[in-house]
Amino acid sequence: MEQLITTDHAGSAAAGTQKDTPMSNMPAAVPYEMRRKSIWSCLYSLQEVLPGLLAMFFIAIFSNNLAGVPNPFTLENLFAYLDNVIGPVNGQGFFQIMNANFVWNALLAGLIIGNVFGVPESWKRGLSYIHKLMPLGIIMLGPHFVLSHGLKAGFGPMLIAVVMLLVTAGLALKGAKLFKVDDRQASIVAGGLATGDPHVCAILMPMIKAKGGQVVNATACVILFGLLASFLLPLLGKLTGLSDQAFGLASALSIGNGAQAASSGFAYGYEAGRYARYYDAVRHAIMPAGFLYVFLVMFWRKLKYKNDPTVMATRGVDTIPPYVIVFVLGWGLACLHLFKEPAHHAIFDMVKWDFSLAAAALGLSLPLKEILSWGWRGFALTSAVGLVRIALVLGTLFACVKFGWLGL
Amino acid sequence: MKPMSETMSRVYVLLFCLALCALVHVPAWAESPHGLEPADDMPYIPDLGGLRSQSFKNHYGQSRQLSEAVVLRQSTIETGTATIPAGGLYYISEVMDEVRPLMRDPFFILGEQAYLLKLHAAKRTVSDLSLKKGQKVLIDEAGYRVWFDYVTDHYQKPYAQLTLISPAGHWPLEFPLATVFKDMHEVKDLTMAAGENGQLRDFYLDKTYHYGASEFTAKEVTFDTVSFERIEYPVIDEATFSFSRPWTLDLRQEDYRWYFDKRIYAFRRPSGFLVRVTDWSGSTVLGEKLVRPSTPQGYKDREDEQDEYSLTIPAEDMHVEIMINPEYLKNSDFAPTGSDVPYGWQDGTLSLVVYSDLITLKNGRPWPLDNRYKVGLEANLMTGKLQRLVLENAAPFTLSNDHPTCLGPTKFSHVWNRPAFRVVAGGFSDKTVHDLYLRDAFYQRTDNMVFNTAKGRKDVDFFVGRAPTLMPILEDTFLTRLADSTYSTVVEGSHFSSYPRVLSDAAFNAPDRSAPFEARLKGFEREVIKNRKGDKLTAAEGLVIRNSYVDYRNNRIVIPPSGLYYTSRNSRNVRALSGESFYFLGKKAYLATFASTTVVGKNLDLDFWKNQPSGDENPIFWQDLPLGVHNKVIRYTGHTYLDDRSMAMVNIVKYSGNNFGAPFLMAQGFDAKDKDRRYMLPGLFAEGSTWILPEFIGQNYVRIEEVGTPLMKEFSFTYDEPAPATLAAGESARLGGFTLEVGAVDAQAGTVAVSLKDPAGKEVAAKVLGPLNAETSAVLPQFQDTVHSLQLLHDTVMVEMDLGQPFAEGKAKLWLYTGVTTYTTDTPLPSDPRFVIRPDVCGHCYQLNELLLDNPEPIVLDMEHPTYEGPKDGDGRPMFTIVLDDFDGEMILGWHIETTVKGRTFKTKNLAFNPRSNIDALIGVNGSIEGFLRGSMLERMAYNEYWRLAQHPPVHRGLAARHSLRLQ
Amino acid sequence: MNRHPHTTDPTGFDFMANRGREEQDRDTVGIILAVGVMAFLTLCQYCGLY
Repeated sequence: MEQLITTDHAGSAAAGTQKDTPMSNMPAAVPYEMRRKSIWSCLYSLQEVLPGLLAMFFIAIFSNNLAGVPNPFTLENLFAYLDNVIGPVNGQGFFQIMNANFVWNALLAGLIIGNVFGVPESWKRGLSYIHKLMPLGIIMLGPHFVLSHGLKAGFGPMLIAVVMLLVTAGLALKGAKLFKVDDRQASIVAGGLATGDPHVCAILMPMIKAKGGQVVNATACVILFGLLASFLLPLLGKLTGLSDQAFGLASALSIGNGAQAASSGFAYGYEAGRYARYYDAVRHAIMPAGFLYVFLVMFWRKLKYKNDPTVMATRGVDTIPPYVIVFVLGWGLACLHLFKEPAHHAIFDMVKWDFSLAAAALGLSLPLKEILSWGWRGFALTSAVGLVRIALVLGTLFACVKFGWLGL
Repeated sequence: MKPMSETMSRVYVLLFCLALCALVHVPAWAESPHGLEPADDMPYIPDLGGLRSQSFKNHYGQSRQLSEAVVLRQSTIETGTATIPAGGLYYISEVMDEVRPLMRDPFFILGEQAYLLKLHAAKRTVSDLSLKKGQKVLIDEAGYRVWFDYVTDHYQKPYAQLTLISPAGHWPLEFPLATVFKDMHEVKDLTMAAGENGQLRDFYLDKTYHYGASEFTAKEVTFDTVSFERIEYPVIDEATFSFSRPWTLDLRQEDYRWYFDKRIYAFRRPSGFLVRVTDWSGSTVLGEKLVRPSTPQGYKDREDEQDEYSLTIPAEDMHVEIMINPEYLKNSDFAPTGSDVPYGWQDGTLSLVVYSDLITLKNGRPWPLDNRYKVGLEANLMTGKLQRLVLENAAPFTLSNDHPTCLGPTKFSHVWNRPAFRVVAGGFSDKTVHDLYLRDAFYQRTDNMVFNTAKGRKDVDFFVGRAPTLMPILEDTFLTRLADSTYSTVVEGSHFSSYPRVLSDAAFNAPDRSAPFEARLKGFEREVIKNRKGDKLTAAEGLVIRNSYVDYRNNRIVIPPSGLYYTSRNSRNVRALSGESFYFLGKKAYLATFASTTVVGKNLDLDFWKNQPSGDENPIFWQDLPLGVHNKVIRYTGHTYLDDRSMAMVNIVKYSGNNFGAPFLMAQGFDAKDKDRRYMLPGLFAEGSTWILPEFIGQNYVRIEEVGTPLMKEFSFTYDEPAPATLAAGESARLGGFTLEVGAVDAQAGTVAVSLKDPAGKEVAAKVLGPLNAETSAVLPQFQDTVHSLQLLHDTVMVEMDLGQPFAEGKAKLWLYTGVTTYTTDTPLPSDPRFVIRPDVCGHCYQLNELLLDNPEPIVLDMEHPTYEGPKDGDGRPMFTIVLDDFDGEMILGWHIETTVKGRTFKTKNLAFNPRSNIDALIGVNGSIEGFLRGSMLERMAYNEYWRLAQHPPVHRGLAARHSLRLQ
Repeated sequence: MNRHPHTTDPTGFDFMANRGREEQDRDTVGIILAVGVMAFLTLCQYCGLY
């Protein structure tokens, strides 16, 4: 009875097209501009949004162990329990390696509920709060990335990390055409792969104006490739004969995701695993540079190819969004050490709340088909770029070890 | 309770013994695994979801720290099959102190929370036991052992350190015994004034050690054997538990309350209530008894009293007590949770408390749900109450590739009785196992406990869980384990708070329990030295940084006064007249002489020590009472009740932050001659030359009549090795810038006349050394008046008589010291006045125990001033340098310590590999550092495991999330 | 054009649609909340409240 919109932004189902739908007898929405009185009008009325907010709230608190909620029956706890049943894989929890975290737990719960039970109409107004929560969460992530925490590893590893990040993101964006991947999905892949953190996929979503299905699909690609790479890298590493410390750096830079990198490191050797965790801080500190780079490149490209219909990424973003600027400011303040550790942790607890709620709404918004409809091309792109990066990282580090650079 | 100074060598002696054992054969006393520990290199895993470690409160609001563990010991692998002897695999449920009946004390039984209802305890006595040094001798069928760990001497007479090991491997402390010294009660005869006094000539050590419900009386203690007249210790025959939270019903006099389909009547009687349980109609009486309300007086759980306080009807699975619930908990069956509740309360309501799901366990009998396992109930040796439940395999079993699993005991569950755990071992080759893990009742498993899978393990021993029994089990090996650098230097990440722990002076405080420990750093010497008698001793230097903190508001790191100290200490006190050496700032130094006094405090009020009184994690121990300046403090650290008498544990804390080896355990009102007493503790305490005479011992306060302990005033040493000289009367020898002339040599009287002349031939000092006869020898080498009578110290030279063979063929054997320097306590180090000399004295023997150099002023580090040089020797060479590599004003991300030896620089690993909030550190291994490691052993063993997997301490996730709610 | 089953309600309101004035307002509200929360938590910490 219901069909999917596949050709255009979901949002184009404007009031004027209602007569074509089976639901055409329903009342048309009053355009936002008409009901707007101030910026606060986007909060709508409590009556309208309460069901949706409650849905997000309950999905969030049953997905993650959130600050202030002592609910033991969460998906996070279920995964932690299953991790314990399966037993550590290279010392890491299996679901940690599968990237179970506060975003994806809530997303998964939302997906399941949305696809099994559908999304009640009354929830939808409230679920739109995802658009307030995304900038909210992105900005509050600012204190999380402190440049000096990465610099502890030294300037050399930092430089390699930055170069690899830019090269990977660049290759992924360039390779999109070759693999016939939608440029929005390619952007998400580029961000996720380059920074090594699937969270970045979610962060990029509003910046790139990517579709939910693309984000989840791209994230799955990044996680899946990370999983494969965590098995592949130790084998390749053995061939190069890298030192444990160098291999730890290689894991952190060419796999990303902390648990996957640690797993790869431990598969290589004990010290390598520990260094993979240590160098994780390097990757982490420059993460914002990754998604800002992807955004800026795509934004510039869109400006350059204004009339090219195949350029979809950042389409609809007319200026650099203010929240990106505020995030950069926040990041700068964090690097100046304005936020002390206790405050950082408190703010991060709020980020967990924020993204849990937002991911719940995102999960609810996606029929499975929409994720699958973006196919395997994204994975091909991810794998190709990821493999090139592995080769580059191993090559660079091999040279470092060979010539005694960086003390590796 | 061994003196810290004496323990260092033990580890090495034991390692040597173990190596010897492996080479020769299994010792004769190893036929049963009881009381023995798992293999030295057994894996330790702190966390497995199904093994709980939590604290709960009992009916009276007292906290009980409960924990569980599974241990496997004394296994062997031959031809691809692991053999585990009977008693080799065991489950421990343990409480930190004790659980008692009538208190609604919680206890874990195979993962389920239970309540102790009844306890039948007894005392076991063993007579005429004799054992040799190093032996662990079985003394009963249950598997208790006595361990003769160590022996040392005072005035050349022996005193021994022994302990009683429970079958599970636990012992609370080592106690000293001797049969040749003065009884501690004779300290009452001392007449010393408050302040400083001379050295005590007598040495106090009893032949009986009283430890509450236990008593150890020696017949004879020699250097090789100890024979006991009597050993008495508590055992538990039977314990009854309930697996369910009790139902609490208001008691209505002369009326009944419904309990499911039963009625419970309570009829008032002069001495309690006649409690009658009937069927629903009231016509059939199921049980009836006069029950007295139970309140927390200690005597009520006595064997002859206990039954008066409950009605148990096994056929109906019911146990009824009458308890008082405080008024504010009326109509609630919740135990007090949040805040402390007074020990007894006056306003309250009488309630019937009904327990069900009863289980009675008998010591040595099969576990009721699974007869493959045998029950062991172990008592707290002090209180005689239940401390441990052990379930061990009754028969030997094997594990092999064909039979890789051993099921643990069947656990009680409200849902499904099932094996509480299973041990799984696989990948056996001929003599090794390559896969070994433990799975709990919820099917959660540990990591593979064979950490080096390529190499495998030669046994299947392990310890999983957080039961405190781990500590005594690791006694022999913890130092080796913590110093192991296979996994590099363990750095545990810090917790960052708005309120860092700030102390204005770090003296008498211990370093952060997570301070990184690096056992080896070139430049810090650790050598085996020999004294004149040929005794081998280990001399070691170390560095301790304690109570440092980040002042994040000013972007700097502060080490408070006394927060950084260099320590040099031997495995035994450095004795005079013995040619004993120690290391000082990297160089070997020889002790020449020393001067100590006794500091006495009188009429002191000592408060019970309360931790973290300011609520922001700032430990301010205002309760500490100083004994002398920069010498020791006394601290009232623990108390309990023995038959309602307050029992106090008072510690003497040394300047270094370590405790004096012997805790003072005291209680008033017990009489050793009273045959009916359940407990015995002395009303005063004395060990060696340290004593305390309390006037009153209360649970919150001890009034001290007199307390005394030694204090070191000064000591003299030289870097030049003392040279022997055998001189006849009239002969002379060069001694530094002087000439030593020997006058009369009287072997009969034991005297030698010596004089020193300057280059001009003028006599500058003269003395008749001695007499060295039977009388004076009896107090050597410790009694300083006698020591000084055998020495002549002048300027930078010293001459002393030889103790071994003072006279030969009419000549006197002398030892000549040149380049002697004298250091006085609390004076600046001459070569580096930034540091102050703080020698520490032995509380037993007045000798030099440890040499500390510490900072009297705070040390401040920041990125502009990232280095700090340690104490400099006479050549201006710093002993070490602290280097701050990366610090963001709040988090320390990189720092290390470096030393320079022969032009080469040696560095520690990054001591902030995981971000740290302080630069506390332990470098090197000596007694002081060992003491700190011992104090934080459980945490450090867990840190090792997190470090191995590059993980952080587990947050409460998975099943632990529910447990963390502390539902009772 | 069909209604997206998961995101569009009968009035045609699509909760995943985000553009124009509405988007700007949502962003602004998000920014205000974010800055407010961060400033509040940071100030509390500076004042030593946790």
